[in-house]
Amino acid sequence: MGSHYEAPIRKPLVTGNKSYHQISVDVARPIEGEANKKWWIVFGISLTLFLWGIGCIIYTISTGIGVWGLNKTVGWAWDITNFVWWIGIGHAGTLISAVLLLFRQKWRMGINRSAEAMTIFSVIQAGLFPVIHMGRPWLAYWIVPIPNQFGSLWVNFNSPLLWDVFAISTYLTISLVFWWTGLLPDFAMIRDRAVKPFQKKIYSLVSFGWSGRAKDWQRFEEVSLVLAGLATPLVLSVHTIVSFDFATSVIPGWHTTIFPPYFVAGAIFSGFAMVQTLLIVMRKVCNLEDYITLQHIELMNIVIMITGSLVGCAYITELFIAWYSGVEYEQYAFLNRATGPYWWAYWSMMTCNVFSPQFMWIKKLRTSIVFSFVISIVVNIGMWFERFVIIVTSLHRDYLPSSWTMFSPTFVDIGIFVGTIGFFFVLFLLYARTFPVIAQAEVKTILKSSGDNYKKLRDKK
Amino acid sequence: MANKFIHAIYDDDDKLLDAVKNLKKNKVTIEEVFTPFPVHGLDHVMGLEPTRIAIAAFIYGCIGFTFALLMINYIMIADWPQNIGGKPSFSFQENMPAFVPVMFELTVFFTGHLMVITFYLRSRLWPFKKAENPIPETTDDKFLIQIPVYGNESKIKSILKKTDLFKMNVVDGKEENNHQEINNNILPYDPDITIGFVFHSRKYSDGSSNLRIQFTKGRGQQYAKNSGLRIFRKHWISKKNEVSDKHIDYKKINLSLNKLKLKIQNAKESFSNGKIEFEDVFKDVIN
Repeated sequence: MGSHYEAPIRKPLVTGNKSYHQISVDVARPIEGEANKKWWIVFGISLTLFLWGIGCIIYTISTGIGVWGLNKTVGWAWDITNFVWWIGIGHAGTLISAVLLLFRQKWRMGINRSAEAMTIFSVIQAGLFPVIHMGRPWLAYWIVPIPNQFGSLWVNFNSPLLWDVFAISTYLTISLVFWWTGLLPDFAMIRDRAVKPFQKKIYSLVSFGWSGRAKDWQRFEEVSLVLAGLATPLVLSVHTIVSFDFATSVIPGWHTTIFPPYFVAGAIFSGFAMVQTLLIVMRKVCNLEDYITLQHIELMNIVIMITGSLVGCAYITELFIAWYSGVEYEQYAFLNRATGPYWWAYWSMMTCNVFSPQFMWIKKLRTSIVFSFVISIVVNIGMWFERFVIIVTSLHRDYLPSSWTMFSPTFVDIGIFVGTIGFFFVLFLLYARTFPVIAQAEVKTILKSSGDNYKKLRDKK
Repeated sequence: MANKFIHAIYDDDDKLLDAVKNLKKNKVTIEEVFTPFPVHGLDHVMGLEPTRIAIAAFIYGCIGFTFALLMINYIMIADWPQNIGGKPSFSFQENMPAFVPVMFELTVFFTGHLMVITFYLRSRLWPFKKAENPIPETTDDKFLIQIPVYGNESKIKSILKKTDLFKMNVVDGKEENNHQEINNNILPYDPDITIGFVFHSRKYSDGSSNLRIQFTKGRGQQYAKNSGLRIFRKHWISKKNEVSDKHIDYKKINLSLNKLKLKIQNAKESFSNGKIEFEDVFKDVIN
């Protein structure tokens, strides 16, 4: 038992007197059981939204981008807002699985699987927007530097939009293999328990014949560590590059050197909020309260509080630098944000992102499940407004007052956004019924150090 | 290769570590250890060489970086330099800062993917690959040491008996790939069969469906046979395994159900007495 020591002051991460076998049973239960009525209802709603979104996308592509609310002054609006929002949400998954792995944070193990799933599903949503914004998505392969028959027509490696292509495709695929590699032992566990022949066949297929040899585990751990080491700078680079889409331009309100760290902090902030939203529901529905404990929720709330404060600092720095720069266009851009026609968007952003997470200083609030859930939703809304404020308020008052306009979304803008939310939940709900939602092999490694029964046993000695 | 193995099974990672240490001390060859999760220090105790996959990853990263460098130089400088916003397009060195993001991403891309592909190939993991753990419980909560036997069976057994063993099996190499059979041999709690009623998922046009009898043994084996009864599902009382009095002909159906239940009871008994094989149990129930 000596090697499993953990300071008694640390709270248990696995509760309910679990044994190794019990962990397998608990993780396999949602997969082996039947979906209940609520699942079908939520799935039905999500699927409807998704189909509605597809309809709007088809309408957009067949008619043209003109069906959106864009005009000649505001050329980027909901599409890019949604793109940045979804990419940002994705970041928490990599942060939890990679950065917390490097920091040896054991509490990541209860939540990393779902957080990574969320990453992949939200990056898929994000990727949709630039592609449909092209107007002719069947030419999307033009963004890849492939030898072609148009003469020496190459992509431009000076452009942050191309950096985005490389960053996001690397991010999506690396996240996917990281996730899948971690899933192999858990799929194998489901495979070896499966009773139904079809289930057995499917899980044999996806577990790639994982057998759990000592050598396999040695490589597995090394690969996880190296992938974590790669994914950490990768996740920081992705949102840095997304922020370059704005920061390298010459639009007042966009060309801000603080954007990269500010976007990364914002991404982690919104990502954790989404993890919180999903897991608070999932732990209840799938009976996983023993693995995703109040301790996990509290720690996530602390991350939300810190990143929210970082984002708040960035907002204030931005305002200060705008004033301090002495450039009147810059000054006006920020004055207009806070007091212009879009003041309501700016102040919703401020309220949701800067003020609301401050409640988490109070222990009673950050350990309240209902309150955490409400705040997580509020933060998600706030972070959407942040991107909207950055994009639309910087554009709508052009240099020439004769070009000043407002932006209002059409039903297609709204439909596509709602459609991606539906798509996201369709994927997540299917995931929750078919994948091992807890990294059970990893949780088993910390059972003896962080399981409540083992901790109690040590305390008695 | 030896064609006889001893499978020493443990139910705890610390017991496994002690046993491996013990075997190593007595110079017993350990062919393989199967565990449900990475047991810290196991590779060290087994004397496994450290993996070199991180070195491979570094090399892959260098390849990715070089690829990015050559590609961007060719595209942006050599093949068709363009004046883009007055940037220094004719010299790689001066234009390089703008290329850093893509060079970084491609380095990560190559490192990550090639390393994972290497891992999958070296550990022989791919779709349609058959699992090779001798008993399915090693992905759940059992730890198994596979020891080849070269005429030293009694010595190995005496060493193993001193360890905190959960179960020991002697297996012939031929059987090794036969997942199912070994599963049934070793299970200490060789489960009884369960026989229950299920409905066929397809409904007839009148809304009734076939009642089937399902036979399950352990975790791996299950099949169902039609009972010959057609029942309206809404009148089925699953707790009692009979139909409610709202069902047409409910008396007749419940009578035949009782007959079936009796047969099921008898079939279970003759199975546990070893009179019939699991595959033939249904014959006793359905004429």
